[in-house]
Amino acid sequence: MKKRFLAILCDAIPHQSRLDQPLLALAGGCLQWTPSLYLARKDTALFLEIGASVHLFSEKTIQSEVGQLLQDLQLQAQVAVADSLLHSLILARYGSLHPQVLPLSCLLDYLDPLTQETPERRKECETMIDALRSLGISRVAQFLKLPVRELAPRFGVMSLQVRERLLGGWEVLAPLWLPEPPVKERSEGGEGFFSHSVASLMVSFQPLLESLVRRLAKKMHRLTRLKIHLKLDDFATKRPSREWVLDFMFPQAEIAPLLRIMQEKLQKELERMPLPAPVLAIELEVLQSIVCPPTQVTLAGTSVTGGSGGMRGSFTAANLAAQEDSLHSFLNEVAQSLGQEQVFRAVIHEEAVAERAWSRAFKLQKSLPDLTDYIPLRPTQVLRRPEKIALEQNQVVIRQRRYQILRWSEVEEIATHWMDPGSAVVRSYYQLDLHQQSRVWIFKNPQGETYLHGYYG
Amino acid sequence: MTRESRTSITDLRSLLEQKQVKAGLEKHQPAHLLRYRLSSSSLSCGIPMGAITEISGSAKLEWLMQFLLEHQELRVFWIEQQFLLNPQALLQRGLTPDRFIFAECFQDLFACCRKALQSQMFQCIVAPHVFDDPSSLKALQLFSEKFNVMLVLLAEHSSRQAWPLTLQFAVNRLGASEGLAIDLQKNKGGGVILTCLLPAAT
Repeated sequence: MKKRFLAILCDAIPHQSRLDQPLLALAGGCLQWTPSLYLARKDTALFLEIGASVHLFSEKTIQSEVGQLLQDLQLQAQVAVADSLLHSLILARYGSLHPQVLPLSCLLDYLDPLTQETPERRKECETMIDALRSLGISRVAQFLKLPVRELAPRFGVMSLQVRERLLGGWEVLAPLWLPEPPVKERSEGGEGFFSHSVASLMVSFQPLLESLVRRLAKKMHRLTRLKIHLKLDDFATKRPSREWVLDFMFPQAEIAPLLRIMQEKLQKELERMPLPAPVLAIELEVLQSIVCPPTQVTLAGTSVTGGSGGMRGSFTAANLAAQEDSLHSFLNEVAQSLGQEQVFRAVIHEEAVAERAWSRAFKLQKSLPDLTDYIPLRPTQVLRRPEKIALEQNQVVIRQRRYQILRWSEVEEIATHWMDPGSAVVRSYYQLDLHQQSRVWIFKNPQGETYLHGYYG
Repeated sequence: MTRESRTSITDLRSLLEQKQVKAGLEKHQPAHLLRYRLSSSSLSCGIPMGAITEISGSAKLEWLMQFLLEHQELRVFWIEQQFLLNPQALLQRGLTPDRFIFAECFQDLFACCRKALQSQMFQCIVAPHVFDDPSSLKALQLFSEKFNVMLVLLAEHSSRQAWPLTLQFAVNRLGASEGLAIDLQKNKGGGVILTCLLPAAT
């Protein structure tokens, strides 16, 4: 049987791709044509051995369907078919196998087609290519014409290895790619059905979840995305299944918070749209998990309890990791109900303009800015959008209510980002003490309009 | 002959209670059995742990930040319905932002407070006081008591019929000065004031 290889070379993996590991998804999709897949070149190239599949699919069919799959995954790639893995790679990369056409830079691909060599070896090869170029050699055909006996003493042993590869004498061996089996747990109702109530469903889900978390813990993984699937009786409804995906802000390894999150999600969803038919089967599938350091995984199962009344543990070094886990579980729970953007820490910036003074993040800020001299005392509350107000003699009108002004502070002039007209801010800020009202922070813009921007409350 | 001043019976009781609380904490008794308060330089009765405190007035946030500055050990979960708090102001008033976790909860205020109380991850929870229903307040009071968390509710105006509140006071600015006037409206149960026995925030 003649071997045929199809090479897929991805230019760049987009950061905002729909899938976190698009090439793995592509590899999974390509399994429908052949089980012989090779993932190489730091997960940017995929090789399919399609020689054995020609009785089922023609080369053209596979090529066009691979193109469609790439489009679905929003990937850009060069695709080529050749008799060997190396030739398919060269053809995809340079569009030709002819030595007269191939540039000298392809010698690096001939030497290290799977990008497995050490940086030192690659550097050595690049030096050899530079030396050849300095002699006026620019094409592979010219390189092949060089006398063999002069290659090793002038360009090193590597030049002989490359020549061997060019003449087809040294086969490339790539490791076979095998997909990871999906981590999922399923339970059938057997003779009867599962109960419709969320509490009963949770009782059925608990052993599945425990088993999933245990399987992940063995691989030192933690859950970051989980799919809940309910299979309904298809005689009673046109939509015989319901499924939900839970995304976790932090990798999760504790079962109790996971159950609470699932329960809340199901409660909310089933209140909104009750189940139209009895539940035949339930399934949990891990869509994404990440590797966690072993210390964290071993601590994952131990939750620090402080009794019914006490605070959770003391902050000793021994239970800090467990504390962190518990905090992450709580934040996952809150983020699940409020949304991931709504739970945050603040990162403070050294910025006079209030709108840019801080940002939402979850990483701890390593170094805090020193605001003591540079920025005057800021209000405790800042309005998202400044509100237009009116000043009349010794009074200010805020939301149609008049307040007597007791004191004006000194002016604070802000004129920043003047080089960028789009984000330039020119304002004169004042603090006003009002009668029986919080101190307010107002500004006047160059047009003479006055705005309320915050409260010292 | 000078007559020696005698300590009143209430002072003695207070001293005894304070000693008992300290002894209980040392023996790791459940904290919810110990009614203790955290001291405040501007409020002599202190702020109770395991209870709800309502603060109103035009300078409530300034006072609260001052109090949190005096208790750097408190880890705070700060909930707002629509987030207006200025974290830069926290830093300017000496508070390090890593002690704080913020949440913008819109309509889910009660559920968010309940989860934060049940998590036992924070010693202090700050939330706006928008609970018209006394049963919600009662539930929060029971949670805060059970998990020994200080729940501070920030109110626009002091609520009248809020019996689950343990401490209620208003903080206003003294005219155009920097001084703050505190008007104590309710102080249920009294209690023992301790400077602090909580573990430091990390």
